[in-house]
Amino acid sequence: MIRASGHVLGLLPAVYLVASAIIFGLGANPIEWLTRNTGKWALILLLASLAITPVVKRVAKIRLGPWPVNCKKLMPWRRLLGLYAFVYALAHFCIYLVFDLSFDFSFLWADIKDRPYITVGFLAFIILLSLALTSSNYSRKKLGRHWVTLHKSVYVADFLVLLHFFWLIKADFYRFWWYAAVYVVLMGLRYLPPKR
Amino acid sequence: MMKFRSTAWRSTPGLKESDVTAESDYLNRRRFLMSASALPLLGLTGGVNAGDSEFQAKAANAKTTHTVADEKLNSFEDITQYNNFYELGTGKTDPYKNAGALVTEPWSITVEGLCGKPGKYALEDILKPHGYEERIYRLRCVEAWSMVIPWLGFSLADLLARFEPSSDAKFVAFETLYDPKNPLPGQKRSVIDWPYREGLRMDEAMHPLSFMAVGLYGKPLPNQNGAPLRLVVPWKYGFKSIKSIVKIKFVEKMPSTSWNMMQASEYGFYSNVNPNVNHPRWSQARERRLGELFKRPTLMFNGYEKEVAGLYKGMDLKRYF
Repeated sequence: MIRASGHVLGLLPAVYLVASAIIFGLGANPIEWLTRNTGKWALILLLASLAITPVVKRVAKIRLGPWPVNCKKLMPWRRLLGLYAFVYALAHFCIYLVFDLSFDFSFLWADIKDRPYITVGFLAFIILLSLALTSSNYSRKKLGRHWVTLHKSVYVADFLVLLHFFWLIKADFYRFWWYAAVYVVLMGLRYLPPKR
Repeated sequence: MMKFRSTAWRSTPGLKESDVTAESDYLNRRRFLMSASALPLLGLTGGVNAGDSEFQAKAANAKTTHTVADEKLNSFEDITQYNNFYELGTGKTDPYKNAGALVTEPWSITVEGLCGKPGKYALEDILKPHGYEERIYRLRCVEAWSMVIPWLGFSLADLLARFEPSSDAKFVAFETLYDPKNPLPGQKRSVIDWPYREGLRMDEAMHPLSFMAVGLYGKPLPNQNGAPLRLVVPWKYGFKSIKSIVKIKFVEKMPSTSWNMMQASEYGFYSNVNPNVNHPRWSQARERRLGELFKRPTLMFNGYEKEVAGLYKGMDLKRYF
């Protein structure tokens, strides 16, 4: 049940994007629309995944209408939302590779080398890719305590994603600061002692 | 806000190179210019309907004097629903959504500085002496997307000449509408140090390609595209083509310009389209033409190299970007 609702949460943005694409269209610049929206939802899901641990540690129970939910049960969402974030990031990267770079890997290398926002974005993508590949229970057992260290690098990936976003903005940082604030709070909660 | 009526007059599709202004039309316009008297704004000229019918008459007579060979026009929808006009919001569709907030009637333009005929001019008096022509220009945004747009308007040089700029005027500065007591939706936050400012070197401004647009696709300029009067400088990045102009000032020294004020390392005064000089954060070598899926190479001076390269002879374009 919890697991299924995690899948629903992860797929909801895709459903929303497809629906709004059908209803409102992709606008004058469809590639930009696709790039921005896949990137945006990758970031949102990364932050959502980042939120699970502090919420579970601080809140024992929440009520969803008449149903009390033991927050510990939400723990599987951390991995699920992280994986879905990777799926959106993968779509984001593929759109860039196909439509911005016309599948030309020399362009990709030039961008990684010369464009800091691409450098950090690509680095974040590589981290997310390695986390996705090692996300199974089998890998977890196999890697032992290294697994935890490896998967803590998601904090770095999240930061790089924010930097990637920051370096693309020309003037209006309004939305960016909201995302950054959420990241800072969620990271801060990890280092502040829990109340209970 | 100006309303569009779909009437019979529209721009001629399938433009040919031969569709240039007839000499007689051109001379007529010169005569108009010569007799143009600069009336200060008294708020009593031309009603809305008079302006409308004048616009329609001029639009109907407009010849296409510039075109972009072998390139398709972008649709009216693309041109009017995907804009950078921060006064109406920073999202690409914000200007379209918030267009109603910009009130263009009445409108006046203040002319200041080193010129023989400074003053506050009603828009009607600004427009009256000018016949309109259609110019199909590429527009290349600094964000690496581009469009092809059929503008309607008149030469900037013709307008500026009426104010008799003095020989000390080396630059001309422009400002967009900003009323601190009644800010536009996007001006409620100081994303930019309002008002929006732009400027050109005098020889750039007097170049025959520099254009004052009052319409596009044969219709009055929609608010989100910079109604009622905007600059179009096709060989420069789009942000140089300032919208909804309320002030023109002739000055001796290079004026401050908004993007340069915000980030001088990224946006130079000249901001000529140049595929060899990248934005510090992203490449300018290629661009996405709206309506196309893949990127295409960006042309030197946006494809107007032959016409404008002479303006920058001997200048290091990497330094004066």
